[in-house]
Amino acid sequence: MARFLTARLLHSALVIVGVSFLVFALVHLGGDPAVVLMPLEATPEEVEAFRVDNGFDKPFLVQFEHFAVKAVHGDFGTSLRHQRPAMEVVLEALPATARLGGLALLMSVLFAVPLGVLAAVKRGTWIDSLTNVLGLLGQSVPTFWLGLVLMMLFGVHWRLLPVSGAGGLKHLIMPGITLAAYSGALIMRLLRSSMLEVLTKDFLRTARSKGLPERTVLYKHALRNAAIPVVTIIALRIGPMLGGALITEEVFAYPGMGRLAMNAISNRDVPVIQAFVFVIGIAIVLSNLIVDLAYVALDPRIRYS
Amino acid sequence: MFRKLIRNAGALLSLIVLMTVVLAGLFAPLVSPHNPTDQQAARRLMPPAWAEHGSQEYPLGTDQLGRDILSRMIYGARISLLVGVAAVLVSGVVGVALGLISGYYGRWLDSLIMRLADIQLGVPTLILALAVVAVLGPGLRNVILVLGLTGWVTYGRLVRGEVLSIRQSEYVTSARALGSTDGHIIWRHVLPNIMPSIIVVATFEFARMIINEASLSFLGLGVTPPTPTWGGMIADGRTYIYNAWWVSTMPGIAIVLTVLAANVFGDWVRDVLDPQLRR
Repeated sequence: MARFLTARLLHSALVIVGVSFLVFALVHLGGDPAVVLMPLEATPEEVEAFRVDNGFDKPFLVQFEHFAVKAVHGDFGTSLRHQRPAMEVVLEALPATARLGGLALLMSVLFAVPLGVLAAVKRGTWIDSLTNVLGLLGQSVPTFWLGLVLMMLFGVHWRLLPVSGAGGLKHLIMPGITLAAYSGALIMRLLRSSMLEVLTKDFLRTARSKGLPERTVLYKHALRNAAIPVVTIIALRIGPMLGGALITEEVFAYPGMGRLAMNAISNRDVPVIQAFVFVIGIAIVLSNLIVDLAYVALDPRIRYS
Repeated sequence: MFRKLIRNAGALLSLIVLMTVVLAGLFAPLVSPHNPTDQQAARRLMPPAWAEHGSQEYPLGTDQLGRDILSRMIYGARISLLVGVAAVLVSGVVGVALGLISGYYGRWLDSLIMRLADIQLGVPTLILALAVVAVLGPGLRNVILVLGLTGWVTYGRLVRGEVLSIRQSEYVTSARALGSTDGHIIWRHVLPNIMPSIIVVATFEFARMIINEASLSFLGLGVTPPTPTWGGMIADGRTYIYNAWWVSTMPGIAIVLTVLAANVFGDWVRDVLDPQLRR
């Protein structure tokens, strides 16, 4: 167990170093990083001074070391627009995105679990077909368009929900649904197939013959076993959902990290973009780590050596 | 295979939708009723033909600059298809090559490539694509490159896994015993065996790439105006959701239909080509 833990932590650290290298390489993609990082109206002398000040005249790997040391301390430079540390600006917007993402994840699970189980139990009936269509649609509708359609229906036409901004729970309903749709559909389809496999197992026949009520058999015995691959997918969804959150926030003018990053992109505020990508990377690595560790704790069959 | 296709209504329908989109894109100048960039100030924001004040001349209405929405959707199909196919090709070739190397040669190469995959998954495709396009600038070539080069992991992991099991198989062992070279074994024995899985994944990836391209164009980081793109058209309509719902709705329907068709078709291809992958 201790060896597994060490190896797993090392792996996470390696991925974080890799992600920070990606973030670092980003400014070098456009050619001269000093030009990329400075405002468009800067004079050549200012650019040159900036280059020397920030060590962009040094060899590439020396620069990376310099960058990595600062990154470890959360220092990604100063936001060109906000004139404050870039990481500070990004972290301020983090709770709003976490609220939206958490709600969407909850929504997708609440939608997917009952429907996925139902579709598997009622295999081949109209319920199965209906959930199949729902699942396919959910995976085919682009996030940003779904957001706009919901906005037009519930915000403009029926005037039930606020069209944009942040405030109470009301402001989170439409963005939440928008962000939850794809993952909900994916989790539902996966749970259905996973349940179908479990439903043929002998231990379910045993449970039934013991006289357990069908509800207990399905939700306790079957679902618990079918849930393992589903939990993996839920963990893997956190990354793409953070990408989706960016689009959702942009559509609903929701003040989270994604909207901040979009504004940073239109202002060419590269330090903020870098800090944003880095924070996303850390979030993904941490969530994967937690899931892997939770497996060992939850499933006695999984043993790491 | 063809007979099976006829028997499956959903798959047949999805193939018809896909063919329609492909043909419309290919013959856009012939089938579109108007020039997609032609602006008619007097005909701004005209509703679809069936709505009040609609005109048969503009079946799906006009946008904020008086351009015909149907014609723009037909031309927009070109970009979606081009980016979809090109990005799938780039990511497929890179991913399959890396997956083959990783699975076949193993050892440090395997570790290196799989760690690269882990790092790549540490940043969501869309966010990475966004950041890169933000630095490099938008445009067709950059969109294809970014989506192509960030999409390899799906193929890489799949191919690696399959190669690992095929490498142990008897026909590979006997081919090696007969003195076949690695290149020959990979090309003649390994690749044909994993091709069905690759085709299935490529179909789903095609759908995903169309959504990714539309997302980038919607955010203004994809193919730039005046070239009509589905994502860009939806972005145009955002300002008008209060009085002209059709501007955003119509191109969205085109995306949903195309992506849905690709996904349904992919499900069917999977069931036919690779029963083991069936869920």
